[in-house]
Amino acid sequence: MLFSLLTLLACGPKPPPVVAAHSPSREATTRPAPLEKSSFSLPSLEKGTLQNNIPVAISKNNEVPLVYIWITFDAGGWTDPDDQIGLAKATMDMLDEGAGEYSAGALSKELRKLASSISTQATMDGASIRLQCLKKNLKPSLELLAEILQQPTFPQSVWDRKAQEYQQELARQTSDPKQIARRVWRKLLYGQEYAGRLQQSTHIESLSTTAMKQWHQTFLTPDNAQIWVGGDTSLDDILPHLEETFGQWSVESTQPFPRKPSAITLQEPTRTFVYLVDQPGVSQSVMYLGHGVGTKTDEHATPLLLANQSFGGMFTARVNMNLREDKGWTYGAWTWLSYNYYPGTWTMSSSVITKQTAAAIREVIKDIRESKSTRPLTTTEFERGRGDLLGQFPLKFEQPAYLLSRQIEISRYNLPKDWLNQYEDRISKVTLEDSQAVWNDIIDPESMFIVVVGDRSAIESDLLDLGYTVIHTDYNGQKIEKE
Amino acid sequence: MSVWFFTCLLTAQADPLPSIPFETYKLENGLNVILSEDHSIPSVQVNIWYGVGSKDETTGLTGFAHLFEHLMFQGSENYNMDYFNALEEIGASVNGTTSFDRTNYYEGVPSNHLPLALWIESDRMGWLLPALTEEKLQNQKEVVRNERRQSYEIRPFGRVWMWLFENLYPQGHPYHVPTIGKHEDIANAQMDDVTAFFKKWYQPSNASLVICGDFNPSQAKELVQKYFAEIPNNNTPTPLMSMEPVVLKENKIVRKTDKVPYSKVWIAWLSPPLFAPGDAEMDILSTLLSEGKDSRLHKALIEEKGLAKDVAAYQYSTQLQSQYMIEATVATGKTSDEVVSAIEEVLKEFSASEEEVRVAKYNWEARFYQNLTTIARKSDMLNNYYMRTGDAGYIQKDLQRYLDVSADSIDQTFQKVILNSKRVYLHVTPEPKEAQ
Repeated sequence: MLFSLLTLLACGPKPPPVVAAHSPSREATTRPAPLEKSSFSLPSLEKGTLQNNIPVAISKNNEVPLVYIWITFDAGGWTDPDDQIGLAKATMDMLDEGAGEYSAGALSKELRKLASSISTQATMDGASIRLQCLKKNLKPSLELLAEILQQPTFPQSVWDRKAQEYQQELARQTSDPKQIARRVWRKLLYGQEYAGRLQQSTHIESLSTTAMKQWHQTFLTPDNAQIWVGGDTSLDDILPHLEETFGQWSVESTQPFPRKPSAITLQEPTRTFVYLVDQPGVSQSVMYLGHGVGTKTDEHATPLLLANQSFGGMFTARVNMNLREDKGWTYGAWTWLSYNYYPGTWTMSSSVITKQTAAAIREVIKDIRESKSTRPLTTTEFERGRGDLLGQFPLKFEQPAYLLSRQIEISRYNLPKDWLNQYEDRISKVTLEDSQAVWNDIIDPESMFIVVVGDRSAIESDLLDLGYTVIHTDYNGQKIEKE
Repeated sequence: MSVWFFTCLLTAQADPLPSIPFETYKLENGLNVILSEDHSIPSVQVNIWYGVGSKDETTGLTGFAHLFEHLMFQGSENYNMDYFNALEEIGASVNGTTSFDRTNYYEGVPSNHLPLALWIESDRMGWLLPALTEEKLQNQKEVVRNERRQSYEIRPFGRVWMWLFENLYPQGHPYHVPTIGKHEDIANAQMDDVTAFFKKWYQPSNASLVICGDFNPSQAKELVQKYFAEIPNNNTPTPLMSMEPVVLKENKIVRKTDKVPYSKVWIAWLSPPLFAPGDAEMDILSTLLSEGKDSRLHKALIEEKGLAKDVAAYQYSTQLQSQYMIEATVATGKTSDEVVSAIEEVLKEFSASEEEVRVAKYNWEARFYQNLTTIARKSDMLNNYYMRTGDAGYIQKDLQRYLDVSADSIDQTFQKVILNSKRVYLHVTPEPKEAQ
């Protein structure tokens, strides 16, 4: 059981040349035609409301006798005070460390008796508590969920211990090349705001159970909550249970909600810079490269998505074909778009063998430049990208979790209600010309952030040969002035 | 609020037993076929296991089974281009994995593309070699060596598995080197090795094909016949399925320094093989030792003594023999030796109670349902059961292994495998800071 470290995931190959497929050795030498397409309609989402106005949405799936309940809150890392980065995450993490009369151990024990599990999480943009249980144990599991959510005790002794663990976790992140690259990347893009506010050791020292209790009271409230249900139940079955456990839940509001900052501007480099974080002796360099793009609902977002898919969003896309399958410098190279409350980003990332670090950057920049000039996206690439996005869409709805996650996104980011239903339409109607035009307009290799985490002594002179200014930073993205 | 806890569970509100309906047959060339319908989404999984893993590599060719898996994506005689080309354009999810014991390949495709998935899988099963070139081999050697760097070398604690296995098993044992292999061996792989490996192991009689999801069985059978029946079976290889178990003669204490942010410690034992008597006991033992904040190791190491940041006990079950591990992250200011002493104290006092075993079993039972929620997972389960036991319908016997565990059987297994057995201690600590 367990661990992927020993099960080595691996993938494939190399592009053409296409050999005339004629073999005397087999009868079925040609690619078969598809069968008739099975119909697919999005699984439905039923909605209800509890007495205290908490919205409830349910996606039914009775394949196995399991039920999932997620309660989400409009609160995440963005609420952290500047000197307490990590407060939202720590609060959610501490939630099940004691509730009502239960100690953390007692909660664990009660949940195990039911074969139920409860987890909590906070990301930059949201917080949630999630229950998974056997259908027959729904009622007692819900009682425990309510207890954890409404009566957490935030024991000081547990936090004293956990604060140490957080320091260790921070030490891990700041010694892992991939995590370092991500930190510096966030810092460069968001500056002093939002995700650019990186957690430091002093922030962990500043966290307190008092602050957590206050955060809990402010944000984990019924008027900031939504309930999402998936699995083997129905709206009629579940509503009375939810009504019983959460319908009476009310909280004296102690203070008005802090609102998210309405808009931030992503940092934009005036030209392309390389930010280098030294990790002596590592056998690969981790690179992140890219810049900000608009928002998910911008008119250009779908054409951009399709262009990205063909350029770097698939195994057979240009970047991976070049760096992995042609050059053999990496295990994989990808590009992706990511969106949140604020303008999104376009990113390319790869871990490349140390001695080819600068060469890999040169190749990627060349690929980007050519994609906008001499080697625009081809119809084959573009249609493969479209086929990939459309083909995988229905498969994602196998478990209710996917539909719920997408609905949460729609609600959180205020996307049009029919966002998901219109997905296939939106993808289908984009033309290659639209995509290419948007790509040419938005992606700019002459004005990018490039982060490299690697062995400076082995790669710096090659990086300088690329012609970019190389800026040395620490793992916080802070310029190192004196060497 | 707690009365109902004790009344409503564990009592017989019978759920249907977890099961995966299927039918199975063999082609004349020996290929095993398992069909399992599930029409919940318009998607179908094609999943093939070959009875060959890194344990079956020729001496001196560590990493070869996995390198070979990469070559299987380089195109075959009638589709001589990147395997992903045909599949990404239809939105398939595709991959392959190699472990000590077996190699698998799978693609989840929109159900109307079942013919393509079967055709392309059969082409590489029968006609891989005519399309292989020296250039492809050289390229994939580099890719795999980069995979090794990325997944094992630059990641903190990534080298731990190599250190553990080289100490658990003697030189020359099939599990002595983890599947990824050694750089020099990967670099040395030759075209002749590739050809010989394919001819020896990639035979229809050494493979099992699962089709699981949205398909019409009679149509699927026709397609399987059409694409796979023409593949000749040139020999019937015999993968190594059992071996005289290795017994550690003495405790080994291994101390390593590495680029890591803090110290961790592993204690590793050799344990009963997958599905053998004692294997399920080891899984339940893990629940008692480290699952939940009330578990023995969590309480002692983390809560009471503040010696560790985290601790986990688990059985890594494999064909020839398994490995039982306890690993812990040492808390700041403490030492890995203190953590080891505390773990051993817990072990010395261990004895299972019927009640906690009953609860643990209930949880393992619930996990069976979770595994049935995707056709990808079901496909792998069917092939795993078939390849290991010869019975694709082994799921209920598998569950029964857990239901048969008792406090007594845990105590007996624990005494034999853990308490009274030699083990490997691996301490990994950060490299000393350079002198200023």
